[in-house]
Amino acid sequence: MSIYDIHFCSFEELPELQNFIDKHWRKNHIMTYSKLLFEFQHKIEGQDHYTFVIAKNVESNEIDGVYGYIETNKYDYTHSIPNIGWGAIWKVRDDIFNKEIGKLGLKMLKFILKNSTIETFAALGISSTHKKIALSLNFKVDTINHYYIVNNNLKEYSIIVNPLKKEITEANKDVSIEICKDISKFTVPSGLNPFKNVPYFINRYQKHPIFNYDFWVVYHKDVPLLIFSVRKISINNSCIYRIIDMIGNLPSNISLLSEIQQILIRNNAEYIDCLNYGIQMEFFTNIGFTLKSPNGDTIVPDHLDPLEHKNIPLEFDCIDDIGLVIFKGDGDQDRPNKL
Amino acid sequence: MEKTEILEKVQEIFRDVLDNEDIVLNRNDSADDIEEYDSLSHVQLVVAIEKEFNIKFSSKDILSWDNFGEMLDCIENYIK
Repeated sequence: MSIYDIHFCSFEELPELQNFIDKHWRKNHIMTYSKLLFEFQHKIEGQDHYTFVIAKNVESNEIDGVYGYIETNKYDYTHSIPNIGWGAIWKVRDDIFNKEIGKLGLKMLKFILKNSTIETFAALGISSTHKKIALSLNFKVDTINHYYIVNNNLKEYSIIVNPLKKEITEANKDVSIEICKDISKFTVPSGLNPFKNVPYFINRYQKHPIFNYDFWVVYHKDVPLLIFSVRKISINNSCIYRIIDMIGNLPSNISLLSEIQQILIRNNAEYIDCLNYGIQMEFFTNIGFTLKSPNGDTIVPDHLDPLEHKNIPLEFDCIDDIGLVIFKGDGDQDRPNKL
Repeated sequence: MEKTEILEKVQEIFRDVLDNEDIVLNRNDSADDIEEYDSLSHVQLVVAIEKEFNIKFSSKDILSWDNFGEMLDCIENYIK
């Protein structure tokens, strides 16, 4: 008989869960004081619990482990995209010992797989310990590609280091980019990203309770074909744009370099970057991006809050090799760290 | 390979990896019944078993095992 009762966190247990996060995960973590953000990620309409599993020790009546995850269906009321479970906080107490504690992490994962409606499970931004466990379970583990376009007009850069400037191609008269806040009128198909659609974009980004996302809608011959979800990130007196997600596609010979360069110049942004796995590198290089080399001289920081001038590989794992398309907006990678 | 032979080889791997010569694997037992078994030793066990039998488990295989019997059946299926 196990000493652990593993179950989904009920609404009544939220304070207890938040107390665990504060004590055993990170002090003053945003999930411990922003119920708004917590429920934006972990509460699904119609369910009587959060997408957070807790392992309660029935002898001590304390929580000894938690595993939070985010379902993509939460943001897609059409339920027409695959329901991926994205791992968030995964923590087992390391200050106690009993014969079951070492297996608790795996048991909580198995509980999620057996008791949720997700089709597969993935995690973005995994730690070295998490990676070891994922490899032992024969999960697919890989690194996200990091692409960027630098603003050629600036003389000094404080966020990017040794930027590689790219010669600007002539503007394509058939291409334009509209920046907007509301994409509800658009019917752009998923295209290169079958794991997302417009309803997902509206609920995940347009209706985000804290962050402000812009949508860069790319038109070709006046037809909207591609939508980037973009977040402007300001650091001291500088700023950058980060593509957080993308749906749609473009004809193969279309470059956006000139149009994007104009937006960067107009807004005095140092660069725009995009972290992606699953879409061919040629798509990004054709539209004007440069792939960051992990060992090159150019540093395009991965961590911006707080800013770290380092190229830190962003790794992910996934139970099944289902051709997953991953962007920075997946999992809980793009959320505020504090209010 | 006979079931008993698979069981003996896996048992030997468990004893070696977990450094406990007293481990006796029973089909109905699970990781819960072995004190030394944790997430990290699991890494070493899976790698050692795959190497011994020259097989590669899928993630779903590994996550579906509720006891050692299911793991042994899975190995048997791969080497049939």
